[in-house]
Amino acid sequence: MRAAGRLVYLTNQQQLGGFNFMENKALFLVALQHELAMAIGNVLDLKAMLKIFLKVCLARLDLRSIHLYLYQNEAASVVIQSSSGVVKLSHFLSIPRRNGGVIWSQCQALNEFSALINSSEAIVMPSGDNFRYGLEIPKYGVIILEAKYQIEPNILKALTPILKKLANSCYASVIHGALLDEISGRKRAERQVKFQSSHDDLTGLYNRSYFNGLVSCALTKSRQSGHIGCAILVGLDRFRLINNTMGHDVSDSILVAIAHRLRTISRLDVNVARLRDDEFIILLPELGLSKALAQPKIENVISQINQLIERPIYTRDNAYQLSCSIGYTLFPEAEMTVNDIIKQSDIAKCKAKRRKPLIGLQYQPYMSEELDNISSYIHEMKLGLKRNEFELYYQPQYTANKKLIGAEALLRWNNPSRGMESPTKYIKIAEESDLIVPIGTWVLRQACQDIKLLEEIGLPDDFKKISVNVSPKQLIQHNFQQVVIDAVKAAKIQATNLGLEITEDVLIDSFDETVLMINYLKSNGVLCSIDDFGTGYSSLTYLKRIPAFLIKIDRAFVANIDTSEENRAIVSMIITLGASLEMDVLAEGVATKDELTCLNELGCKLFQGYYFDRPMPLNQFKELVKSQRRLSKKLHTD
Amino acid sequence: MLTPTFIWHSDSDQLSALKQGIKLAQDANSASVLILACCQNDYPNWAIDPFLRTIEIPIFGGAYPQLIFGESSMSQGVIIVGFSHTLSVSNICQLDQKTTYIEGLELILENDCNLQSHQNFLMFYDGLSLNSEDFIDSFYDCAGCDVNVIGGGAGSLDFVQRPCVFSNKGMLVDAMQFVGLPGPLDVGVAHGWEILDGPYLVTEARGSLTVSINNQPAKDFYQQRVEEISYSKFFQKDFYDVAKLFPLGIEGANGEILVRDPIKTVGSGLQCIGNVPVNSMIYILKSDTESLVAAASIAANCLGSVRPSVLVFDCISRFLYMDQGFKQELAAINATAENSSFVVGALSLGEVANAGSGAISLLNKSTAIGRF
Repeated sequence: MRAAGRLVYLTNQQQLGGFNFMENKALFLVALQHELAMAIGNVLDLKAMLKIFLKVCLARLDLRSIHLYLYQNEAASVVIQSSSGVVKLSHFLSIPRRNGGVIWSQCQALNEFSALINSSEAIVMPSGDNFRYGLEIPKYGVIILEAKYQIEPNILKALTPILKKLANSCYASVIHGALLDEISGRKRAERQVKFQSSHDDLTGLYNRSYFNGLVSCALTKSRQSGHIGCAILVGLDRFRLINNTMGHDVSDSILVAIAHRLRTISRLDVNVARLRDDEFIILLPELGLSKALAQPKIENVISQINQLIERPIYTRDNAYQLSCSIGYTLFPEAEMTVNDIIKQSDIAKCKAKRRKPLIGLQYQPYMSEELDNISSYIHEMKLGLKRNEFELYYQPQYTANKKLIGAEALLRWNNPSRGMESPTKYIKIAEESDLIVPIGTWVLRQACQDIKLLEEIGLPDDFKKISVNVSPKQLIQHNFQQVVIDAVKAAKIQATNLGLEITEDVLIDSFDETVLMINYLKSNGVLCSIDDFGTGYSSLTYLKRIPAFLIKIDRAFVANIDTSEENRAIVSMIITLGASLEMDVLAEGVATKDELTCLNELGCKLFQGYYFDRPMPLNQFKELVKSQRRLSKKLHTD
Repeated sequence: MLTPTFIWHSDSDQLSALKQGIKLAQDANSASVLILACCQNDYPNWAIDPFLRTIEIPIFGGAYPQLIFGESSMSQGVIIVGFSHTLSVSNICQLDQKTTYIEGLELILENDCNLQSHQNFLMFYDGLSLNSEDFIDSFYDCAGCDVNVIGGGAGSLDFVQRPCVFSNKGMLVDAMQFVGLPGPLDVGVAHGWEILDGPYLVTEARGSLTVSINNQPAKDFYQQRVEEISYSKFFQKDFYDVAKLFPLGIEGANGEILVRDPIKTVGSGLQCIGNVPVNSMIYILKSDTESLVAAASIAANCLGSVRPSVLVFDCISRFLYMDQGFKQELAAINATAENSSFVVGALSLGEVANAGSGAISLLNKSTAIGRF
């Protein structure tokens, strides 16, 4: 490039040595023009191209400084003067960058001078000991030369064609820049598409389909090398609750934080993917030729995972301490597929969710059998719900002098093949499988219908309400309040005759939302009680804000209260608490007369338990209601 | 104002003399030390670097063909000057690897050289670095107007590149050193060369290598023109013995001549200290002792007389040209240096100073005097 563009009329050296002054001057101007012209367009990047040109100008014209002001749009991109939109002449480049330590773009006098330049005729303005010359770069802006001497007019004139060439080069660079932007934008988009095809949008971890490919490769390699590999599945505990109660923003930021942490697992060949909403899967290939070699490495990674997840996660408004359930499976086994690996680690994770082992749980074949059993049990429950095999029993609640004040509705499943099932079994499975939500809705509706029947036969004077247990999973359904109100309306009952029992745990997880919901239901006549009180960790501050009408003392504190000082102390404290919060207190699971006496002495006035009555079918309960009503009438008559 | 606390020199070419000078400077409570040494001193490579690394105060300076101490020139020995301030010294090494990344180079200058903390700098650099002029240009770009600099290219007259810049990390090669001064610096510069023949057009060049002039191989063209217009002959002589008398000059728009010293031939081209741009108009220059001394005197006279330290970078080729007459140049410089604590300096391979335009430029065959 540098050797190109020779001046034709200078090829005869005999001409050069003997030029007179005027000829030398003309030669100087032509050489200057040529040197400056050669400095234009050597690179396509606009700024780099202009910088080269300015440096040559600075040196050849013996300048103190040199400046470019170019037309720029709102995005600060250089554009042609006549471009549409807002176009402004703005400082673009100066050499040197500063004057007395201040960047030139902040020099008001220079900025003002740039605005005065509007033709190819140079204008001059003295500035201290220096002279500033302004010339137009056609259609693109202006150039300002600052020198300690007065630049000869013929030199300034000689710059006119140079600046036209500079304008052409600006045009080429601007077009080139736009093309580059477009190409790089397209490449960026291609990269993004490629990335998105293999990565999870939210966390940036590998997605499931890409991970499947990695597992497939690892499986093939393991079969060839004999090395054991491992897939570890990590499920966040109770994460759906956070998602439903705190919203997607919070849950997303927690997932991103977890993903970020899992990336830091200190093994070079670890691959982490997001499998589902709150589940991550980690592939550990090549762990050694025996299980004995692999196991410590797996446990080390699981230990790291536990530590990474247990560290509190801080969002803008809150801190969250999470736990996880970890299941894993080893490969290769004979005829094992990628799907098998992921399925087995998932099964082990589900199992771990119940047991919570700190070192995770390795998949074993019996787990699949158990899972199959649970699946068929869930299927049976679904059928049972359809076939009306469920019914509600009612356990009466009394005052100390055995006045009926209400009852708790309890679900019973009369399985046609197995008979009466234990609630401890099917309630737990229903909770874990989410089947609790349709079952809970059925319970609500059925209880309302039963209340209607009780209302028709007439309720005793002291009777307050029938209470229905509400699962945490029901509570986090966005339409739960509506389900309750609809059930009340559909059965056409007094809303005050229905009560809901919620546990402390629900309150801890989503306090503000639950309080809002309880208040809403209260305003519609449906009151709530706090069930199993004493087993959770409610602070007094929180309790004061819960608009519940009743605290139910957990049966664990009632059992043997007459002989256990510790239980007495706890129950006494709960009763005092109830009094100070202006809530009634009911003791659950009262089984003996001694327990009743003790509770009475401590100030408890409401009771439920086998000592009074076992849970009974509706018809039996209706009879009880009738007899209580008769008794109450008789007392009134007497 | 930067106060010199200690000035010392020795004619010994032994490392022990340098060690002694540094120890004395430290004993005199110097917070920073300038070291000017002669290239031909016998400083073994294996010993000099470990010693320099043990010095706990900032050191700076270079190894030059000759030194100036008052009115004397020294062809061996060392000059040590201690200062009361802890001066900020920045070193940029491996210049050859950095020129292709001008933006990166500017980043280094912005980030490592405390440019915004100082307005005045001393500069010591490897005079045989091919990229030194690019760095100097970039330095001006980053530092800005109203920044004053004086400096000189270190290295030996055999033009073989060796470690030549003193630093606390050892002797540096292919390096540039900036020393930020806490107070003002006055700079005077002049060369005293005038047009003998020309103009000619540089038709091909690569950095500091002029490949062709008027479309002819630069070496042939130059030698032919010099032989035609003077009685000098290149035949059977070392190239530089003749070329030192007839440097090239690039004419600027303000009429000033920027001197370029053709130090050797490379193939059919001329290797100068400093770039000769393609399409620039050049001349063959001439001078005589009287003009050179007069120019040095002008450079010295334009400085004030307030500041105590006088540092001179005088091109080695002026000494080679004037030989015995060079004493007159030193006398002229010293004559104007009244009230100064010292006049020290080096005969350098290229000088750096603010040119007439105010820009910091790489000069050849010039006298650059700084007073601070």
